[in-house]
Amino acid sequence: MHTLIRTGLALTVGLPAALGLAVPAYASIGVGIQSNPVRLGGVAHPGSTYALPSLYVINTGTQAESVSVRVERLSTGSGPGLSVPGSWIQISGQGTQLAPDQSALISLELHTPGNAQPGSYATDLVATGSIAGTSGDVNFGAAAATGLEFSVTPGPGSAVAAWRWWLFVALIVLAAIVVIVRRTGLRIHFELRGTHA
Amino acid sequence: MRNAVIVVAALLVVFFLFTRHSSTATTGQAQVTGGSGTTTGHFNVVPTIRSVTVSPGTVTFGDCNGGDGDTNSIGSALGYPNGSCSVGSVGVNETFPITVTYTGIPGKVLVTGSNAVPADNGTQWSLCNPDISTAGTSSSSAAAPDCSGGNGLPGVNQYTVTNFASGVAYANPLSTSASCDQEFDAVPTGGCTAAPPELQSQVQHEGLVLTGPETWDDHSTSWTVAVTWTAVGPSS
Repeated sequence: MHTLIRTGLALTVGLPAALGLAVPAYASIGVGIQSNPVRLGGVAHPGSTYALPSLYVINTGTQAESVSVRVERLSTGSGPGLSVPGSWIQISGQGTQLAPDQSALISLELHTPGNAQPGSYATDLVATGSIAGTSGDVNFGAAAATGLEFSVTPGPGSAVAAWRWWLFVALIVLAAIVVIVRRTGLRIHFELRGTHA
Repeated sequence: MRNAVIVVAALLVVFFLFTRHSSTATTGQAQVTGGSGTTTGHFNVVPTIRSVTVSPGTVTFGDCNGGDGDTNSIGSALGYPNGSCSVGSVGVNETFPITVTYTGIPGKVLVTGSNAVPADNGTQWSLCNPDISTAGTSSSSAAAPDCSGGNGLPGVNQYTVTNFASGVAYANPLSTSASCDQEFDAVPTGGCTAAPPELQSQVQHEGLVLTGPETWDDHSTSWTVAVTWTAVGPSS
């Protein structure tokens, strides 16, 4: 059986090469990305959605490519900061087809869940170019990465505290009015008026 | 009456001075703009993108050797156990067919391998970390499990891919996680730093060696692997 496999391998891999059907030798695949990190203008609060600045990508290869972007904190790290779950970032325009030297702006949205931990977050946005219909047994890929940074503060929690504070002030004002009215001897009489036959 | 005359005279003097000053300014301006011209200045700025380009986009392994008996490697067909094929070669007639080009402000180049996928999408080969002492590689690939075959070679359904480059003493085993391409920076100890001169690119020519499994389960005769180079910032 393995002799058959070996023969098949030789036919499958060696025959096209022998017939000169090897892939174009000088075509290249390449991807470029903006050097500056994508940063959210301002701080994010848990449970909210924010539009991030668009991401610039460009096809630096010599043939048309499909460019996709993913969120991945690269193994060598991307600076201090909490990791960003991929589900927090919504990326539009995945698989965008780009001709050589053509660029695109990829729209990004940040969705922070309600239980997002306050702090500084950092990760990488990795744009990868791929070519459809490759014919070799080693497909090369090109990718480029830039940082994504934002901070989360407990904003909605503060809003609740402010609401409670205003309620507290309103109650004090109401109590003061009641005391003043009682001390000055003012009497407020409510009368219901109805229609009598 | 006398005061009124003085006021009117003063107003006339002020009006006279104002009109004289205006006409002088206008005259001066006309002299300046009479022969206008425009000079267009061009300048360059440092690149605001970083990129990596790999050429060619695809290759086919060749120069296969190794294996045993009836399952020896032949030409471009990988044999077993632990046959190997290459793209490029080292030695007397060394060749490095893969060109990796980094462009932009200084950064790094990472490299990633993948599982080997059979044509029928059956059982894949996973990347493993070869034994450094026997494979002659530069460093272990932390993200890949150790090879389970004899002498640190790939076991069943395991394989390794290492890249090599001119001027770099050791080969670099790849893993499925992006890691520093130790072959990119052509210094004796290797490294992945990309620091091209301003407005230029840094280029490296590399090759690959694939070492196959001790044996494998899938019966496909055509397999595909992917190798990806990634341009990142210096802090990554």
